[in-house]
Amino acid sequence: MKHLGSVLVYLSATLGTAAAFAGAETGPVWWLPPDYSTTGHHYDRLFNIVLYETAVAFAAVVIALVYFAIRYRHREGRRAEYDRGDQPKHIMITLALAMIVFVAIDMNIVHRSNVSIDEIRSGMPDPDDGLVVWVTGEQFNWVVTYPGPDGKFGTIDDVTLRNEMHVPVNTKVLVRLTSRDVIHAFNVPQLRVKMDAVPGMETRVWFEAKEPVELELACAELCGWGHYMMKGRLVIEPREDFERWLKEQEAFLLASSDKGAQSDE
Amino acid sequence: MSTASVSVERPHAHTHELSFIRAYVFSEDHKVIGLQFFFSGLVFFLIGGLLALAIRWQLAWPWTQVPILSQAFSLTAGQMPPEFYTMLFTMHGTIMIFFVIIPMLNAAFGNYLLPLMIGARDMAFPKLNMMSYWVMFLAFPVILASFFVEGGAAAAGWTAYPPLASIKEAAPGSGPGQTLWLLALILVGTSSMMGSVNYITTVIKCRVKGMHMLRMPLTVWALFITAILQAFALPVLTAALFMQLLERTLGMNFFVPPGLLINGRTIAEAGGHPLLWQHLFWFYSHPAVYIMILPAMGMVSDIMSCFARKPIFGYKAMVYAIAGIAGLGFIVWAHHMFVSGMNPYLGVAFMTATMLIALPSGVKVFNWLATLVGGKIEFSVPMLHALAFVSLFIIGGLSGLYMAATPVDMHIHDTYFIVAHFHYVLFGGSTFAIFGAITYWFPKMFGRKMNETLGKIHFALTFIFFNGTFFVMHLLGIHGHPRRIADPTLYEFLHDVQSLNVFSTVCALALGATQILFVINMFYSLFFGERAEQNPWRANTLEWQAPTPPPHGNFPEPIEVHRWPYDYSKPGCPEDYAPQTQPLAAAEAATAH
Repeated sequence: MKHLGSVLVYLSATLGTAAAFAGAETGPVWWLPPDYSTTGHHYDRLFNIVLYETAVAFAAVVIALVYFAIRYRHREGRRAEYDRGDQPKHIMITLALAMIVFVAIDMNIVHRSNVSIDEIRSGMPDPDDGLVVWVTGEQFNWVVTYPGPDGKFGTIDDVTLRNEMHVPVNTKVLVRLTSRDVIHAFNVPQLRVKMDAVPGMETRVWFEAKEPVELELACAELCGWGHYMMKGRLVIEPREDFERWLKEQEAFLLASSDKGAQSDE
Repeated sequence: MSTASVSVERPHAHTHELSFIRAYVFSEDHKVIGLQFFFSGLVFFLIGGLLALAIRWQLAWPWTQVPILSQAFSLTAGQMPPEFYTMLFTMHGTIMIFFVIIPMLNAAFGNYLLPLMIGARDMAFPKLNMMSYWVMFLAFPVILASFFVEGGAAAAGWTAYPPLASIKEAAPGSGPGQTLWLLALILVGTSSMMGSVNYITTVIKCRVKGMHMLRMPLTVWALFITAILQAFALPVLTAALFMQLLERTLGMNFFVPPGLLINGRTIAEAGGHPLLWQHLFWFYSHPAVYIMILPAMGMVSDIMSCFARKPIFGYKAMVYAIAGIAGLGFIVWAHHMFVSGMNPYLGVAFMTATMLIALPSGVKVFNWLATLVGGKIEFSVPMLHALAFVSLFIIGGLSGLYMAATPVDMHIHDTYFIVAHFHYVLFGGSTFAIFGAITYWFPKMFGRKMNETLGKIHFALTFIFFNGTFFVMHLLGIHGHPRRIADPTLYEFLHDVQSLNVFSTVCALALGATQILFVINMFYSLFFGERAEQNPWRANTLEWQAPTPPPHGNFPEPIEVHRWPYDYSKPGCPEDYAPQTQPLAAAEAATAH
């Protein structure tokens, strides 16, 4: 029974895997985080498709491996078959299986990915309309800029905050990203949003939240010793709350810049 | 052969004694050079492993005092400073990839096995071979010294993305540490290049009589194709490393855009682009993934065939699959950059190319399974590792599909899912293959067998704790846990999964402790193990036909190859194996294809 140990190892690994998946099914805690975006279902649906396909492929290989290992274990008085596997029929079987895997799994995933990408990209709002927010990464803050009352960026009335971003619910938000120093990545897992903020260039990402909630904005690209604490607050709130908040910020900014102007004189 | 002179045809058939220095230090013998790479690889495996345990400790119990290490952190009252954490994972990745897995598979086993397996007396260029080790050796003090320079060792990730890596104000480790990191990698790359040139030439020019290309064992095929892969990919990395070095030291500019304000310093004179580095780096580093897995696949194929006592299924298909993976490896690099700001339509092309790799990989897995069918499988320690390789590689391969599917990658990119994926490939795949290879070729290398029972205990515990450590990382990543963050407890949405971090760390500590068994087994067997006969596994390949351990020049008698290496259990042969040097018998000819 020399093989028993290894068989046990394989069985425990398989059961452990199954248990992990089963545990994931019953409780929401160890799985995809809740999704508050209108586009997140694209990602999640595709994730589940990949999961089912890979689970089937994995199970098939491991079951075959364990079965063959037991079935063809060393036993006295038997000689192994001399099978080179280079006959036309073998090559046909190999190629057929590979093609099935390729078409059924790979091309399926490629096709569905392309559909999702197109749908997500076609929804991207134009920078001229909808809510546009500039987000600039810096070590180790998210600098969030709204255009202010004149609706234009780069003017004196821009509203700029650090590590705090408010957006209205049920509204497409275009985030224009860049960085002041090193590469960062704008990441809100609960909105399925992730895009690098690269110095010297602009990248864009958009999302639409479907319910009011307060989320965490993380940095997903290593940006230095403080990478772990480059964290922002993303508040998704009803439109009227958002507008009131933005007015307050604009008023505050105006008041402080007036004060600044007076003190200059 | 006369004892007084050294003939031209057999320049290494010395019969006079070499001095100790010439025989064991500055040796031109491929076996000694292989062992030099082997032992330095083991030392760095230990260093890289300890760095990993410190990473895991911090993730499970952030800012608590790390055993032993905490004494070094007097400024922070024993807590690990965050910049130390960034240095830990940077150096763990760098050491494991460039100082352990690539040299272990390609330089240690490659050097030791390649000439033996093709019946050559040595490498084509023995002096170049010696130099490849000593250039590598120069990298050791450089990379180790970088831990002790001002600011500490490199801390910009093993991917060293500029501007973080190339502007010294951007991170503490981006000072002298990063410069030493670049120098060390340039040295390692130079060493690998010397090895590649040597392997390619040796395989083409130095095969023994009768060793046609299609009679070479798959280990040799894998090493040969990997050497070609390295020869094409490495110059790009070396050029990129030099560019970053020039950017840091001579004020040239390739990767840093103008107008940055980093840590109080304005960088006005610049004019480069950060994505250029990513393209150059991944153009090498994706093929590097195959440099780390193809030789492992070759060795696993040979081990499986030997212990199933059966020919490898679909030998030619296996060779084409290796070549296919190597070729496709060059056109998939940008799948590392789906969220980098690269044109998203490029992503579609790279996704499709990436999916194509599933074809040759699928052929290999199918052929390994088919090799078992009808076999007479002996569950020796090397075979257990080979079987584990197949089952773990399939997890690592399948989890790659999640990354290839661009929309899914948007969610899991730079999360622990990626960490899980490449550890399944590089630990579950490459490292299990290295353990298998060590236990398989140990009797030939040192003339003694490793302890079987201890080997099986080590295997079982490593298998269990490996899965315990890395499987849960998939779940962490699915939940959105970013990579490279020093303190996951800072994020509310990660509170649910912190228990998985703790579980992973406990398993990692146990995994580390398990390796002590391996070290004990190796060193005990080295001196007190049971003496091994010439061909203890009853294998066919040529290295087992050489004396144990093989002398300088490998084969005292001229040999000739008469068959392929997989004639196990062939009808008409009296034994269940037939060494490649054994002429075809009349009874076999009738059944031969």
